Amino acid sequence: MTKQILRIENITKKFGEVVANDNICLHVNKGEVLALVGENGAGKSTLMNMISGIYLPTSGNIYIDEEKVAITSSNKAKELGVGMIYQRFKLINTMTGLQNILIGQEKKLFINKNNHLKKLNELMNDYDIHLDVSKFVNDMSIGEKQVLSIIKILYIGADLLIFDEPTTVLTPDETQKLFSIINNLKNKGKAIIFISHKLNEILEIADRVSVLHRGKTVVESEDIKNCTAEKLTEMMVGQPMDLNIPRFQPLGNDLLLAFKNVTVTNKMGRKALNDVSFELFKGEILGVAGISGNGQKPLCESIVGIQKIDSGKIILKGQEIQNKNVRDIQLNFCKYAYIPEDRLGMGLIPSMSLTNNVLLREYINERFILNKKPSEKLTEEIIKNFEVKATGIDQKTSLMSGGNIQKLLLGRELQNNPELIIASYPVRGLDIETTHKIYDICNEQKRKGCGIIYVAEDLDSLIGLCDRILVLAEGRISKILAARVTSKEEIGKYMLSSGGDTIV
Amino acid sequence: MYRVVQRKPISNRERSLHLLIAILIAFVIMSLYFLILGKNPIFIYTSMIKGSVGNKFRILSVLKLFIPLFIGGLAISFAFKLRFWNIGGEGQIIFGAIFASFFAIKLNHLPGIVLLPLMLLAGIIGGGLYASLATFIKVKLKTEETIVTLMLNYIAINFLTYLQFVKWTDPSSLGFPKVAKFSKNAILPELFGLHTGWIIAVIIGGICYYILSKSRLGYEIEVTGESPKTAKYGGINQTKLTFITVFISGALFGIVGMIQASGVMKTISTQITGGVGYTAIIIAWLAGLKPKNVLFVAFAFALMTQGGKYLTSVEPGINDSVIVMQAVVLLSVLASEFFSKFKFEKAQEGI
Ligand SMILES: Nc1ncnc2c1ncn2[C@@H]1O[C@H](COP(=O)(O)OP(=O)(O)OP(=O)(O)O)[C@@H](O)[C@H]1O
Ligand SMILES: [Mg+2]
Repeated sequence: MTKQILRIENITKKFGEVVANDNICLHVNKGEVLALVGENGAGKSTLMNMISGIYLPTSGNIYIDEEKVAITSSNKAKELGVGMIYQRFKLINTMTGLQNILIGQEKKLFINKNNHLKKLNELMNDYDIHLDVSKFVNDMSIGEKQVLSIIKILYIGADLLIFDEPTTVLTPDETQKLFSIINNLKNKGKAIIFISHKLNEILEIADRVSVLHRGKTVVESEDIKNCTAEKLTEMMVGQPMDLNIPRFQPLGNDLLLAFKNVTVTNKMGRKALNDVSFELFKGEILGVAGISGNGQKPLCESIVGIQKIDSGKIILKGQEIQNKNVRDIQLNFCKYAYIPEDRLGMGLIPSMSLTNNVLLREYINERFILNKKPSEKLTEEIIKNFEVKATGIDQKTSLMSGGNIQKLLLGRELQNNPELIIASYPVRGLDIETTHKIYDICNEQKRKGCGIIYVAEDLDSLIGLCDRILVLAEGRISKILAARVTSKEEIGKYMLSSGGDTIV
Repeated sequence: MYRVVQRKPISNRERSLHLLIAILIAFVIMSLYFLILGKNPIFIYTSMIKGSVGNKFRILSVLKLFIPLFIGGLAISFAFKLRFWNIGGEGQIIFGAIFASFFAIKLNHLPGIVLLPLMLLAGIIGGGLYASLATFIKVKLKTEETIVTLMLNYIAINFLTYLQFVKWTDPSSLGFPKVAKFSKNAILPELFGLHTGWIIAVIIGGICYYILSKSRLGYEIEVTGESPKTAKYGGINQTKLTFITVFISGALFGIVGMIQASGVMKTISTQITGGVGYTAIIIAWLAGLKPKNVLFVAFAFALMTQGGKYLTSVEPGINDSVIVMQAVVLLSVLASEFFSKFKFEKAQEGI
């Protein structure tokens, strides 16, 4: 018989009036990966936070190794062998990887570093993990930080590892590395809970799946070894759903935006954008592919006036707009929508109410005293149209689930018919239904003549949705491909080359 | 086993209740303290109450103390909402007072109806410009405003000392270093027994409330204070906003300077600030940077100060105890703030 590492029985969690978890049951076995899925706001993060000691359940029982436990703090969770890898890593940037691992390990004044290092190396060998732990966290890529977090909780002795949407911030390559680590963990008898909205990932990595819907258990730890994407979708959505992305012909060649030899130098003196030239037409979706950090952010930000450029020209609707300020562009040149990649760091203010966040775009035409009525109405509409799960327009934004926060941002930006949409990873953290809804909105806007710049990591969606795909590598455009005839392999090849057309 | 967890937002009524309990606890602690000192706490409290609201004159004294604390609390609220740590209230009060006094001294032939508004305007400009100096240094040289504003306080007080001891010394004071009393037309007239600074305070209170909670400027201040990156994204010109906001903060302190010079001291001296530049920080912080709350907190401070003053006159040798009492009340209030935001939750059984 397989050994159950975790069993949850009838867990309920209420936040005041809100029932985030309603009598949830699930279990995870030793040596298995359980995928936890469900729509945005279904209650996945809340449930995991109870297992890792962040929240206490309102009622219900948790069993670890068949023993009833009360997980009253994150330290208690650690003692019980539960480790969680958060989306925003809890690491100290100014310390090395090793220091981060050892911090809080021993409450002694002196630590025998070499001893630890030896044990750590053994552990990394065991799981076939490679990481230079002497590196400072500051200098690590997101993927490396994640690996460090994994080592850290393994070193503490975790037997159950929880990943809350670990792949949303990873490149496809890093995702593959993560999966091989997870497989090793599994083979060594660890149990894993894996939260994701991406079907192909779930099918690839998970042994069983638990589905939550509106805080309730729909499917409890069911075997999915022989499952298909369609069947899995049906489990999650409750009915069959078409997973194809419809594509429409672009409108024509009415020029909307052009970059002419744009170069941007970043703070470290490196060229973040290097001699970039391209055109975007009205009624066209231009995808931007590339390993993250290869120029996507400066490209988007230079259009809206956040990023100043060193040389070149940016022409929007026939007028030069490079190095103009944000307000000027908003008011005098173009009605644009901009979805930045870091929604909580830029774009939304977590501590403010939903209305006050919507107001950020609405208030600019107001004079001295603000009239909040239109924003309140708009917020209500966004909640309705985008099915944002919130207690009301006055709720504090940070109290919503990750996906719902993203929906609010999308709603605000897309609601009033922009002429240009700049979307940076817009479907990050969204469930399948909402993701497809965003694709539909993009298509709808495209048909209305809107030009769209669509930055994404998921190559399938880029190929399915876009008309052309611009591939960035080290700040240069390595190729612009026609989406209808390209392949993932071809895009991948150009993502790794910065030499322009030299690769055949 | 207990642990601290964040509680869901509580209603204003509950919050007031917490506050009341906190103040009660503070008085219980102080009673014990007085008993240990061998004094009768009942007598002490009744004298304090008598001293602060016992007669019309004392109530007026409370209001006189309240006006600068209230306006100062508002001044801090503006700057702190933007996360601009303006510790320079003292200097801004001084420069407001100096600018206002300049007109009071040099143009004392003007009628009050012209001179007083001129002095008010001068106070606004004096305090506002002095604060802008800190903004300028911060924006140009990327320095920490805490240090800069603090240093500017010392420059201001020394400059005022120079004026008082050298430049503006009253020749008829027989060598005593003080500035001559303002002529009558440079002194704020009284209405209902209180200098008309109170009217200015009421008007300013209303305006500040509107600006901070209902206006475009208030919204931009809040957004920028919470997240400079989002402000940039939204197109807010942060340099301009900082200049405007800090100018307002300084200008409000400048008004305090003008009112204290013209309405209270009827001259200018190095005693002009009375520490308001610093006390205002505590008041604004306790009030959560909200104008409405600033009103109450400033009033409570004024009551306590006046009560304490009276107490020292009837019960000699108790000066220090008054300060202890203020500290205990302050700490209790802070503790109640904590319990309004967090609670202890009992962990489940069966560990
Ligand atoms: N601290 C809180 N206070 C009030 N409500 C909360 C709190 N945390 C979560 N909720 C609510 O509980 C519900 C479930 O949220 P949770 O974050 O668990 O969803 P999720 O399944 O992780 O969604 P997503 O896929 O979007 O991340 C949401 O409706 C959310 O608004
Ligand atoms: Mg979540």
